[in-house]
Amino acid sequence: MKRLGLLIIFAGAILATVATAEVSTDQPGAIIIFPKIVSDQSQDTIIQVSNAAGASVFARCFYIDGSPDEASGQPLWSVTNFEISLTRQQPAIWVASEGLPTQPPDRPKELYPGPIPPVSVGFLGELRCVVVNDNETPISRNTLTGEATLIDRITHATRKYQGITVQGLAGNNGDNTLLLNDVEYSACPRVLLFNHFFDGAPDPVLLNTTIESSLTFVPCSDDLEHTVPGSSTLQFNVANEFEQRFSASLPLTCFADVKLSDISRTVFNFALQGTMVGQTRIRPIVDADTGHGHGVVGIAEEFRDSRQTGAALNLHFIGGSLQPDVMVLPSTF
Amino acid sequence: MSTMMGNMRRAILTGAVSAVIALFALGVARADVTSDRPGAVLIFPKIVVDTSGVFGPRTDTELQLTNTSDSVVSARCFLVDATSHCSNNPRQACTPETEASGTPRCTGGGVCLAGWATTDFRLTLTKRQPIAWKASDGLDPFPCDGLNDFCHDNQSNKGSDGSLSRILSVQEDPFFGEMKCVEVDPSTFEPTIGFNPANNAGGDLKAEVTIVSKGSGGTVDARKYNAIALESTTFQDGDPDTLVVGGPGAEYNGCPNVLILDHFFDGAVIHTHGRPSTSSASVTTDLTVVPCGEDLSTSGLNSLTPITLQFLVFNEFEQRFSTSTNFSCFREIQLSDIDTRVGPFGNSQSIFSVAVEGTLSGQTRIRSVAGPNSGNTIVGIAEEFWTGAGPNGRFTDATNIHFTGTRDQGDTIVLHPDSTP
Repeated sequence: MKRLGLLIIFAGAILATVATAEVSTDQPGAIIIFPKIVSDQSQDTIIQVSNAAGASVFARCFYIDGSPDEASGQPLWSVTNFEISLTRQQPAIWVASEGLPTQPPDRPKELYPGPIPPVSVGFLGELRCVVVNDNETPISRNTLTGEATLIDRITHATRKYQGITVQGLAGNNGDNTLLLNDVEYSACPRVLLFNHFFDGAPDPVLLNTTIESSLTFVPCSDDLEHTVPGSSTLQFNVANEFEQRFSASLPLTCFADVKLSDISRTVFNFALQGTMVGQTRIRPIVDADTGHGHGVVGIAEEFRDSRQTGAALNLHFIGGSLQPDVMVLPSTF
Repeated sequence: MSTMMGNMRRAILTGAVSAVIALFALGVARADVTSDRPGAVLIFPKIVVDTSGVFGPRTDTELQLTNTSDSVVSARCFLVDATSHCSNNPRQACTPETEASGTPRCTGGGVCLAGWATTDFRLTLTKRQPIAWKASDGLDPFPCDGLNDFCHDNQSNKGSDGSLSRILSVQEDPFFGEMKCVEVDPSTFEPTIGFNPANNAGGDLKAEVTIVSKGSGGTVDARKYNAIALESTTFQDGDPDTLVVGGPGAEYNGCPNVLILDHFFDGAVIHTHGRPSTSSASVTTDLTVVPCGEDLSTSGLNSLTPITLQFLVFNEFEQRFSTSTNFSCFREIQLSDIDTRVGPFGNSQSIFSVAVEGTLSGQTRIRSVAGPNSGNTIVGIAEEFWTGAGPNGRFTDATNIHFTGTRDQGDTIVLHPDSTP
């Protein structure tokens, strides 16, 4: 019996070890988040979503418009829901401003992932998709990968990043309240890491132009049933090349797309830092809220030559969030 | 009887517990190389320098490297020069694409021969220190060189043996190649696990690469990717110059079994902004792959084993195609050149061509064929080249590639023995 106990403890230890899943930009997942989708007069977004598995998959997707409301300045937080179905290994692509039409123009219905609604002009927000079964019950099938390409209408400059995937785990109970707690789904990151040039740093290659960066964040928690956006306060810990450290903070509700210099004019400024590059650790503040965590995911963009060109990149992560995040999907009725 | 029952119960419970472990482990089984977490080995699959614009726009590469931990860490880096040269003029750089063009670089009967040569350097980073450099320049001196400049609390980039940190420039210009950096103990300069427990001691280094080019008309373009990180396990086999990547006795997590590339088919025309003719652009994709395992102690292609890559291509109609190719140490290739002759000839007949596939996008699964004694695993990046009607004509972006699964067989990275610089 003693041996049995030891065996079970050993098994528990192994389970504890392997259960520390994290979000990823490398591997297929059961939830995929595109933190920045934009469609306006000057930019549009090309979205690619693929099924990496050898069997069909369904997903419920949500466009969440975080563009500022003209009256209040706060994010609009309007949600549009649609569904996609992908056959085995099937890739799908659409342009955010166009979506996919209601009738398949070029293929039989069973091979058609759409229809997908176009986003409204001026859309600035996120897209997230959750893998479900044919009864629209969330399931832990880690099959989705994706990319988003932001494209400039005039210059055709492109910036591409990978969708951030959340792994579905064995403890998924299939309800519409998705717990990102390393039991149902992997936890959101504890810390985001961002290597960057300080705003205004001279481009090492181009010399006579400067580099600027911006960050886009979305909360991991979202209540789409009661339309309550996730919120968080982000702490920025910045180290320059001389190991000097500075800090700043940013409150976040629903969506934030900010230039580094708008987070802090001094901390991210090349002239004041005196070094070309910095490392910024971004940590959502943990509080006493037991309802949900305040984890965030995001991407960075780097602009050169007076914003004529740029590149997007995924941020690095460390550790799992100490508070479980919660995504509540709207019930179907 | 009771003993028999007890044995049976034990056997059943043991089986059940094992099955639970196996099932759970299966459920989360994944490759643990990563482009979004720090690691103990960093792979930069593509570094390019062409400051004279021999092969296109003038191009250089900016590299950013950061210590993410609160400990001083060191790294040994190996710059791999994979530039090809003409057989009758070893100073003349060439590529398979230039030789397939109407104006080949190798004349007088010369052919373009693949090359492979390594050079190495070592560096020390203070706590959380970021550095950046241009591949054509290297970095010397470091921000806190320990001679004239010091970091916070009198820390410096000097190694514990007093050696100065220095990053070498690339070996030649033009240069095409890769770099691998290994986290090492700052006092012994021998490979070590990471110092940060929040990262499960998987390693403390992260990095980004930006390829920046400027065309003759002044058009600027930049594309960026994250370096690929291999996380260390807690096992160290005592051989400091041979790193076991995946498989039995792994010191570092194994490289992926399959790479998954979501891409546009070559020549696809994408319309945006409501489809005016000024808002359409066509796109092609280049794939760059490098082996996970490598013998960095020797130079010359003869020391490398060719790796075969198998490609499974799916279009949006779930139709499947396949092809294969092979490479030795570094390969950058346009997708539609994988199954046709290098260069534009025949591209429209490629299975990566939009004309053949009939859909805009595809998913390609890339599997390297394992050798008898090694996994032959690979990592890579993808680059998109967009051509449109806009004023600047051509833009690019780079992206990391998704992956899935691991292999039973491991690979080894053999380091050149360290010596004080």
